[in-house]
Amino acid sequence: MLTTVEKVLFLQDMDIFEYTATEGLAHLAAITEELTLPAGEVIFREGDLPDAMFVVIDGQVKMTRNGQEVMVAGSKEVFGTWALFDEEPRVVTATTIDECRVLKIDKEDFIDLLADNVRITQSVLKTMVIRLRSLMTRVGR
Amino acid sequence: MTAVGDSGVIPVLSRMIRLHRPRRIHSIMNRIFVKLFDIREGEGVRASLMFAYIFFIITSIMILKPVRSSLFLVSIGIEKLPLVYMLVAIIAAAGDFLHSRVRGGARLNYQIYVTLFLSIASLLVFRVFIHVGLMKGGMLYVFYVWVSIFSVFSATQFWLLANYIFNAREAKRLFGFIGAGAISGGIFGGYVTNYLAPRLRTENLVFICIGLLFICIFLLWQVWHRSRDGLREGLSRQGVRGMSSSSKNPVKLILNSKHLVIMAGLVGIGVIVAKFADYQFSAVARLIISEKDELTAFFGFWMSNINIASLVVQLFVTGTVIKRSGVPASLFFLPTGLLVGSLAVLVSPRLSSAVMVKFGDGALKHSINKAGSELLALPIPPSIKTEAKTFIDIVVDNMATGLAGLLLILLAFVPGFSVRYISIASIVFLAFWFYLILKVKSEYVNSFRLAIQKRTINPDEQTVNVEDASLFESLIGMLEGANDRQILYVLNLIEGVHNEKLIPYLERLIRHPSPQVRSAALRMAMQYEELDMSAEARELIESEDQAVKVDAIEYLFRRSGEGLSTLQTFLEHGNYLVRGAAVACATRVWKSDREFRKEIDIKDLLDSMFNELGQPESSERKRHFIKVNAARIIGIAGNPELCPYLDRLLTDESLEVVREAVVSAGYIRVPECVPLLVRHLGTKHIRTYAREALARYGEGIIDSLAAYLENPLEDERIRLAVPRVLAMINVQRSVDVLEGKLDEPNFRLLYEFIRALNKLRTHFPDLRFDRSYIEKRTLEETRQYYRILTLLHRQKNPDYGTAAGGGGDGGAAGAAGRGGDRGAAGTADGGGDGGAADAAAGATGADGEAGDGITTAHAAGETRVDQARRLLMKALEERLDYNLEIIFRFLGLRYRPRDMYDAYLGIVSDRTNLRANAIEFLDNILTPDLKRFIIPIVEPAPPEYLIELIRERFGYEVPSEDESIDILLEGTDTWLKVCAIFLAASIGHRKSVEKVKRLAGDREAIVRETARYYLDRIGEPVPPGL
Repeated sequence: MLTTVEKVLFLQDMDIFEYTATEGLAHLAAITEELTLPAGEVIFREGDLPDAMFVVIDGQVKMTRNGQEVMVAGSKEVFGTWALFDEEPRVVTATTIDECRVLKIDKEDFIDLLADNVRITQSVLKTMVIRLRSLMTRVGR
Repeated sequence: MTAVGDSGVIPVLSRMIRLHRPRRIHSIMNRIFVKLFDIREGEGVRASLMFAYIFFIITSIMILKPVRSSLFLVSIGIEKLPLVYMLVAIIAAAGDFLHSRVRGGARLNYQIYVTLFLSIASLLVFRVFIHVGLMKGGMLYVFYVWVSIFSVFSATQFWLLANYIFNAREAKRLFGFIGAGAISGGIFGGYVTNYLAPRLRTENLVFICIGLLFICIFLLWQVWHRSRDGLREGLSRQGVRGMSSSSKNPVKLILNSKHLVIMAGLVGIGVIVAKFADYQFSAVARLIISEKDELTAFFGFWMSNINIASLVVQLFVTGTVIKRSGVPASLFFLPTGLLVGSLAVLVSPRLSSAVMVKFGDGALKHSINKAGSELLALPIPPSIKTEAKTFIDIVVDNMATGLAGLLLILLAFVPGFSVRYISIASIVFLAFWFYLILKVKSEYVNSFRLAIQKRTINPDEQTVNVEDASLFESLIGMLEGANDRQILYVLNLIEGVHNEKLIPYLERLIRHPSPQVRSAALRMAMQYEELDMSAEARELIESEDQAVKVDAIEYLFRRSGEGLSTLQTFLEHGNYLVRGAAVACATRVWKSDREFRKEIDIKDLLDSMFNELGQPESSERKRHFIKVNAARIIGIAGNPELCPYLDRLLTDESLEVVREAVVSAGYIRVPECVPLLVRHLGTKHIRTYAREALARYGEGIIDSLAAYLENPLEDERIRLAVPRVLAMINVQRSVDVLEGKLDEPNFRLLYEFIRALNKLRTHFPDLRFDRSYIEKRTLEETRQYYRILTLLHRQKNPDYGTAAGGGGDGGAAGAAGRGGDRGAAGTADGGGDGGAADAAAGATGADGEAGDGITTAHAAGETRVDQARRLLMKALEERLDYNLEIIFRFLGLRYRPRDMYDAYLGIVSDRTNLRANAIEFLDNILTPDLKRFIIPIVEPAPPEYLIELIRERFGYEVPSEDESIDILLEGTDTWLKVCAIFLAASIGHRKSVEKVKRLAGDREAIVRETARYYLDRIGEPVPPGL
């Protein structure tokens, strides 16, 4: 099992938490759940309602859409980020390729964390705004 | 509308009546006042005191003005009057400028005390001068100007005070009553002068004024003392704050708006013509009356009469004209009156025609024209109006006064000059005045239309404007639209306006798809006896919306005229939802109608509701509804005796029930509910309501809240939430409690304390802060910043201070003053172990591709030691950022909050010029001590230079690696402690093993966990018992 600090080391490199203070990440780490999944396990299916996002600790997870492989997530890669922010059904199916350890961030817990900790909320919003601004600049060109 | 309680209206009068048996008479008196002025429970004393205050101020002004005029005219002569007009304009403008500079730091009540005491002292000096024969020549000019300035300042300060004491909603109802005090004072003062001047002699009237001003001081003390009631003051002060803090250029604002230009023109011309009228009146009076006391009595007599006429016009003409003809039409009355008077003087310059012109000005200016002018400004957005209107009322008014004086002087050079010439000049200005009124009409309606569309008008803050015929037509036209929110907004705006034209709209709106619109229409329909919507109301009882049900039942209850029996039908209805609505309706009526309280007992109603909870056939849905409804009803009743019912609901398992109960607890404000409310500060989805409910308790709850802060064993979530409650209670005690906690070692708590103080300072600028203590704490925080900086420098430059190290570079101290270089830890290269970390920042994303968010980010080849060091460096940098914010928050308590906020944004900005401006600003504003500590932090400088400066100036050395870890382990910062333990574990640092062993039993879970991880890594056992 990872300690809270070790979880922070994983989380601090995720884009979505780029501007979140490390102490905020410790709060975030506290709401994560470490799961060990066997090979071939379906984590979520295309069309499922989103309820969590995941970070791969070790192992590999493949994303497929209509049976076609879209991407493979390996160690320190995250998938299902959008689940934290909208209600739209999953657009891919996530299946473990081999035995995997992942960190799961439950959507409800995440929203509660944001409600409790304004600085984390600010940092996540800042990331969103910077991305949006960058997108607008690119479109503007 | 609620009934007036024991606090009553005009308490002295009420108390006298009570002595003579009186409950009934007292009740009748209260009802009369409620009916006439809509004074509510708890407002009576304050409103009465303010009424008395303005009454005495205006009485003294009305005595002083005739005294001033007669002394001046008899001794100096009418020909010098224009000169004194100019002097008044110049000195008033200078006085206003000085006053605005001086008043910034002082509380309003102190400002008024100073004004009143200085006025008394000045009057005594003037009286002594008269006695010893020095009141002649220049001294008479001084006295004339002094009286003019006193009149303006004392009245202005009174209305500022009124804005402090009453919030917008109270002001809307009470200013009419208080304004009547001003008119009564005007009438009374004039007659007193008329009666006493021949008997006591003109100069002795000054003593009466002195006495009246002493009464005003007492009244001010009383009213200020009684008005310190947290939120109420807070809300009104926010308005005042808004007025003073803006920095927009009023001239530009006016020039950018045609509407404002015309308003300024109207005010300017109005002042010029009024000065001409005043001159004509004084000149003719002086010509006919030569004796001083007789002249004083004459002025006093006519001022009273003019005030009576003004009152009559205000009571019987203003409202009707504005309702029927609209605001622009109401503006024609004053120039028309002045035109008639001027023509009369032109034709026959006798006393009667001079009185006519003065009468026209006096009777119409402060009644119908004042109302019209004020309403004219309503559609202007508040942010612009505040600046522009103040400028127009003060600067334009003064400039016009000066110009009038100048014109009169110039006219005097015309051969054969007489008061007739002034009439001709008046008529020329009046022509332009009429032209401007014609122009302002279209601008006014356009501005209003725009304001409605943008919703810049707050229904709570405007008064009778919607009764203006032209606006009313525009507004009800909007009721035909399809936009629910706009319809509700308009209905809210015109709530209370009785106009038959609305009836067809209400008949249509009662069938509107939106239940909120139907409810609003029904509420308004209650005002129209000729409109019977009983059938529609019965249908609405079947509506799914509970609020609509309540309104429908109330409509039927009030409409039927059968009293309780109608309500009883619904209270016994077979449908529990209808029964619930009937109880809510009964409570609403019970709250507002004392007579009804004899007929119905809310406790009985609640008991029967709670009995239903116990019935086995009650469904879960029904039970839930009953509890939510009961909670709301207790809030509506606002009766502390209902607290026991609320206790049950505050601990209910349903969040919705608890939320309603929490809201209601804020209305009944009994101490028994406080512990539960405080617990709910830590309950998700409830905490916001709990905060507001606790804040409603006001000053009385502060000590209880302070006890939660004092208790270190209290749940931290509650301790973190309490400061936010304190920030909502605008009393000095809130500041004192929070300031007393500024030595808090837990930085999360400290942050909340300062944030709360910042809010209090920003929203309630009259509160006092201990500047020297805040300065001391600012310096301590700055020292803390330097200590962290040395720790960071060590991490970025492990070889610093050794033969191998020397240079260091890594941008460690660059942490200071940086804004956008977050992630600097990853780019540090000074220590030789940062290179690998760079890769960590190279996160690549594929969120958009798969639509499900896949992000890659990792630091290739980074060892555990690299990771641990990078984490600690990042945590230290974050602490520096945090520390810098705290320092500026402290500065925001010491200096103007807005200035410090702007400076902070400049300092953390990426834009060099913004940062430079901010530093320059700080360099100019900070005290030498603060400057010495803070400027090095914010000024860009090579890190080595800064580290050297810290060492030389403050004696802080860069600690060694071992010392660094020890400092962090012994510190109070939990997160830095955790990062230090993790680094120690990663590098196998064994020197701190004993310290870490102790931390294996820390109260913080994350510290315990990391300490055990360390002990596991270095192969040490966890001490037994931990």
